[in-house]
Amino acid sequence: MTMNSNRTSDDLLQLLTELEKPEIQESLKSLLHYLPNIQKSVEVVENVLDFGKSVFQDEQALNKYEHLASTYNMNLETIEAGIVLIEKLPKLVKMLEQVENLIDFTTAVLQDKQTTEYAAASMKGYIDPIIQKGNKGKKLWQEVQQQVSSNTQPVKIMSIIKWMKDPTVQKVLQYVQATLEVLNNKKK
Amino acid sequence: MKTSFKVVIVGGGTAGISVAARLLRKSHSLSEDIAIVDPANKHYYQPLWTLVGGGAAKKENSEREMESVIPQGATWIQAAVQSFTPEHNQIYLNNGEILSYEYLVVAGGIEINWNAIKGLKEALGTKQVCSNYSFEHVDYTWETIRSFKGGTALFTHPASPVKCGGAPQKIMHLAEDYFWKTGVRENVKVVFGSANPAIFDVIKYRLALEKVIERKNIDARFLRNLIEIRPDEKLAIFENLDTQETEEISYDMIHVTPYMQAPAFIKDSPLADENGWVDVNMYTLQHVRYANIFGLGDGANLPTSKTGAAIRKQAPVVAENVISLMRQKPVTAKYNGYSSCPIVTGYNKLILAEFDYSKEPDESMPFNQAVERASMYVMKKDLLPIMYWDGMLKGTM
Repeated sequence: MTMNSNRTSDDLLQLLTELEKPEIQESLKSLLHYLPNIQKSVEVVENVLDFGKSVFQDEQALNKYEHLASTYNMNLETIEAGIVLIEKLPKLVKMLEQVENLIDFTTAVLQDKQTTEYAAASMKGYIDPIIQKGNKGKKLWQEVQQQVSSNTQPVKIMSIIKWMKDPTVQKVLQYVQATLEVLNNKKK
Repeated sequence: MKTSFKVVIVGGGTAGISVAARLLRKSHSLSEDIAIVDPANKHYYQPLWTLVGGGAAKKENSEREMESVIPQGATWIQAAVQSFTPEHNQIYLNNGEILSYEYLVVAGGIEINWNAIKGLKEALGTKQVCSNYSFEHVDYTWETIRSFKGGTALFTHPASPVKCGGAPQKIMHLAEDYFWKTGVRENVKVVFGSANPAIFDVIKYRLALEKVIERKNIDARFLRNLIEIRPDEKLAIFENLDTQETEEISYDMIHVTPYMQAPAFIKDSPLADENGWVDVNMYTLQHVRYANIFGLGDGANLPTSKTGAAIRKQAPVVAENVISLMRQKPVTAKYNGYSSCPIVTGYNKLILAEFDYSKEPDESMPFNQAVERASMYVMKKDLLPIMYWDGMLKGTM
């Protein structure tokens, strides 16, 4: 009993010593100052807890949400997939950023009049010579057709011998000869 | 006018615009809090000038209004920087205003010194003295090449850092090719007077280019530094960097690559190293003395070739590291010294050199890039300009 009362007196003394310290007094003053706010915060927490408690006690509401959740295909597999997805997010974000950059670049190109004109001019530079070649070939063929339709004379054997001397015919014949040789070698 | 910004970017060139666009994409909160300081009205895509000089592109396609390339959300302050006070996070402008920043990105570029070669400035654009390094005079290069009928065609490379180290020889290859096309090649002696010790720094491409030089019968003279032009006598005076003696070469046309240097406002600032370039860590691009300052582009003291392609790899590093600092995270993004030089070796031919700090090839194509290819020429001529205007400057490429 005496030991216990001694301990209480010691504790009180220690408490009083602490309370005499100016920094403790300052802290207490500050704490008192904030007390209304703290009280409000505690009330808010209390309200949240009460709300949670009420929800859990409201069987009707619980059943409703349980029913709603059951309409989704949520199972352990889904939860596992969610975790795997979170794990892959850094890589996916990088890939998405690249796709985003590509989309933004394409949009910028399409909206940039100077660029589209530049690209069109470049394309024209490559396409024009092909068209010109095509036109040239077309003209040549038209000329040939015209000559054929205007020439009613039969082709003589002397004309054919004359053609043989023509370098273009010679070149074609050389190709024919070379092809035949290659084919014969393959047969062997 | 707002005078305090979260980020101030000095320079509205390739590097400055790219970083601004990337920062704005990374953090929308920076909208209206980024300033780009540049006095110029126009923005140029200079890599096209090689082709303009060779008659393969129009110079109008290399020029846009500065206003049109400023990213949405950035404020363009049309003024020149007079001085920096990094201790107070401020820069002084030539219009008397002072800008405050939390983070500073210095992308001031490289300056051409037309006066460093005696007689050049006065002769430029006349008497067959041409240079691709000026928007104003680049047309004269083409005029000179296409009207050339014979004699000595001289091309030079100075004893100074240059923007795109391969450019001085690109125009020579185009001209040489054109001389063949017009049937005058046999009357032309093509001479390359370069202050460099070899045709290219990276061995793989050097070997390929040496073969090109040999095939084209080009008289390449190394360690020759052009110091004077006498246009009336059509005489170029070189200093032999080996013997220190002067040598004269008579020419009938000359394409000059001028001296280039760090801009004065950087050179004389506390941000510069002993050579006048912005003193940055070669990997993080953060200033070595001021943690909230970054530098990139031609104006930074990075031991790699000064090219737009290098900036394409530097800009994401700067943007990421600035954002990291803002989020109080360590700067971890690193630049490996990547640079690229599409060396045009003729109309429809190109060697795509790509390399890093180690001067080893760092190629992005699945084939040998030391081979001259038409596909790579098409890429330079038709695709790169589009990628530049709508990709790089928008922060997506």
